[in-house]
Amino acid sequence: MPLELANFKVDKVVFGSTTAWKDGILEIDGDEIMELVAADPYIENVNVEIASPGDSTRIVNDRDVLEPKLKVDGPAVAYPGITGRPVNTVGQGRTHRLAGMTVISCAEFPEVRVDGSRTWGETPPHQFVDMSGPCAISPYSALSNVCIEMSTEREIDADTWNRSLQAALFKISDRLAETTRDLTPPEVEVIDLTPKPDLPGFVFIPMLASPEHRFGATSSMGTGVYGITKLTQPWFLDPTEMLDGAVAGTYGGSHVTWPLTNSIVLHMARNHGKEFNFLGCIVVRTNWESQSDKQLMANRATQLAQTVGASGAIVTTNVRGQRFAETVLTVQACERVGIKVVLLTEEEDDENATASPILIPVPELVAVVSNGTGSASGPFPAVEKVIGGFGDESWAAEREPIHGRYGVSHTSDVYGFTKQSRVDY
Amino acid sequence: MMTAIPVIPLTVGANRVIRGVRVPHVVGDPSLSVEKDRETAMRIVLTALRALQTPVDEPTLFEPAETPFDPSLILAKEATRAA
Repeated sequence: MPLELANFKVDKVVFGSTTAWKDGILEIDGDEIMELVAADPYIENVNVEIASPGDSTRIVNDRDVLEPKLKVDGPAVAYPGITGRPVNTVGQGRTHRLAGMTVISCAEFPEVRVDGSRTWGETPPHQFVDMSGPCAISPYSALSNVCIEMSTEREIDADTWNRSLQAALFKISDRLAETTRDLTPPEVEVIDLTPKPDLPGFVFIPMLASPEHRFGATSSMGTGVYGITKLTQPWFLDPTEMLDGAVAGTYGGSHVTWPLTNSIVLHMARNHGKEFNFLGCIVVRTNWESQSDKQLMANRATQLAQTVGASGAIVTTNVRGQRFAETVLTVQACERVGIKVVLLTEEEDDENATASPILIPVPELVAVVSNGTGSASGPFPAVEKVIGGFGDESWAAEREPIHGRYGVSHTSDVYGFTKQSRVDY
Repeated sequence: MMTAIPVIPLTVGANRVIRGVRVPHVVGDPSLSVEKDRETAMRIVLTALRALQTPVDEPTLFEPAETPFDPSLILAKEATRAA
């Protein structure tokens, strides 16, 4: 079944007296938006800001980023499962999308001290989005962003706070997407992935970290498939399900919600039937605790790819470190059965050419597209406005270059969508 | 090197690699009974001792499951503790 993507392009977001989309302009009533969140007792302070391309603005403490979407027929909702949303299968019928914009939740996050008490954790100095200047290399720098600043004075645990933030994000995203319900879309793109004869079949295999090892099987603190964040065997998803947000949620600082609906999947879907058939997406959960578990997941993912007749795969990995083991084992398992793999990944710091840029350089890893090291040459010029700084004025000042290394990425770019400079080999 | 993920040290060139249990508990398994947990730990340590005495000329994986193990070692240990 094809998916119709009705594209309501957003060229600009402005504050106004009502909330409505017209001719590429999304007007939002800030008070109405904040009122949506006011019912949550955990969110004591909320503020809405707009960050547009070219603004002298820095977005800090961004927790999740998504594109507002609305399913307009049938029982399914966009971004199913997460925060208790219905789990009806998505990927069919018509989806309205506010293309070219995002909603971003901004909040500080609690950390538990050794003695069990809680504090607001330090914001990593490398994680922010500049909307202008030489380091506006994030994909969000080129989009219109509605940023929701949220804070509380409560002593709150991370999962409780995260659930409030997610619920708020989706309430606001739903409200914005709702503006298009009765409108005639300016453009409808039909994603029909019926295989064409005589073309090779490709799959997309995103490796996505599970938070189960740290936060438990039902935690909200990570990326979910229909809301399920725990360690599960690989999921086979139709690409159109991905485009409707079936995989959503942030793990640590690794945003995947917007990228998974806007980068590789969309690109592959649009090129389906030309040079290849896009057969499906295989989501492999990472953070398994033993190598045999990791190997088993790699084997099962490969088995799924073989079952659907794939001869090629794009593999991505969203967090480095031990998560990379599942990634490399999957590449290895696919190559061993004749499925050609291109791995899109960030590189490790090569420590002045003394270390491998790939953590686990197995011989089967023959085609890699490097998406950089997460570094930004900087310096980042001072900005006039900070969103999500929560009173920390130092964020507005000029900031030093960032040297990408383990745990430090200015722009996590495993899907290859940023405006970083590159070298073609 | 004892590790739950041998593929990493093997590919980066560690000489002797011993397969451990899981990332949060490399040398033991709290989900097992006390006796089986101790056997697991002793097997891994004995494997490390075997590895140290084995000449290698490339990164080599040593499997605790292949290390000869005498269960009476655990009983002997218990006896020592009791004394």
